[in-house]
Amino acid sequence: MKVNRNFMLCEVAGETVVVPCGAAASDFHGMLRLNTTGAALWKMLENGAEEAELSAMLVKEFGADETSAAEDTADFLRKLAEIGCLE
Amino acid sequence: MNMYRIADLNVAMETFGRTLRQSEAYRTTEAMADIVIRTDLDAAQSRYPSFSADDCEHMETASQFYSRLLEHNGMMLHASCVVLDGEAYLFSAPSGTGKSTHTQLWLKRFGDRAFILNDDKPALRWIDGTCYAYGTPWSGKTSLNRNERAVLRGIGILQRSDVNFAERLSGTAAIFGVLDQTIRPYAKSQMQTLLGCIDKLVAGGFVYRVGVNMEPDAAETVYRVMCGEG
Repeated sequence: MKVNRNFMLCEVAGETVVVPCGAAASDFHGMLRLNTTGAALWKMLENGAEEAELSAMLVKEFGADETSAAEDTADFLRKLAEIGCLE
Repeated sequence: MNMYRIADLNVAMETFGRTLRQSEAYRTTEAMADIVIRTDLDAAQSRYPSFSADDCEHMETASQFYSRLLEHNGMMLHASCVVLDGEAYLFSAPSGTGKSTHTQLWLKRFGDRAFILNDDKPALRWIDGTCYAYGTPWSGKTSLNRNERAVLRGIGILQRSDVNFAERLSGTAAIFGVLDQTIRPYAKSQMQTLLGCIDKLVAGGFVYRVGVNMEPDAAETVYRVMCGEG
């Protein structure tokens, strides 16, 4: 799974945000704000990580239990898919 | 091509109509262009068939200038900009909210101390660490613009409100407030530059949420907060 390359992760004024560029900008005019875990998931998705790897990272790096890590990952991916962030 | 000095940049441009008239005050004799503007009017008119040739030219030249401005440490903000005591206050909002109505209240309240620098699309540029607002020939439906610059004091993201207020914005509300009212560049590198500009505006504490009615008191209330007396 990979994020659409037309979306760009950026640090602005202490916030981690994702903005659409190029063709994506005409479909989505908004902006995403990511928290620390969201940013970590996003960076893995830039390199094409699978869902299982993402939730394993939440367990390992953020101390989440396996059930909620899996739920949170699925939820995150569903939101990204809704706004066209996934390729 | 005619040469103009706009936002402290040399701009070469062959234009007509309103854009030519409003650019007259910006003519310069300098020779080297920082930005060259060439419009394809036929293409623009086929994209915007409901607009006159004059309006298309104005939009196209503005779009080219403000895109290139990103390469020179600057950005456009869709705002009405009033200068008071030599400092620039910008009020930004979607069309029809009352940006110009609000800055006209400043002129009424402050008289000779204030003037409109650009009524629709002022340029912002950072020079030696200071952010300046500039008048440009692209000032929307009105010809209210001056070939001058002023140090930026504040940017109000404007909304209508029964009660007048102004409060400093931070974080995503401030970032999106600005991002929502500028030209979003197509290329990633330019987007990076734009976000760098927005970072400086937000981190510098320049961005406010401003709610105003149409009473003369609105100008006084907002001014006091933005100049630090509030």
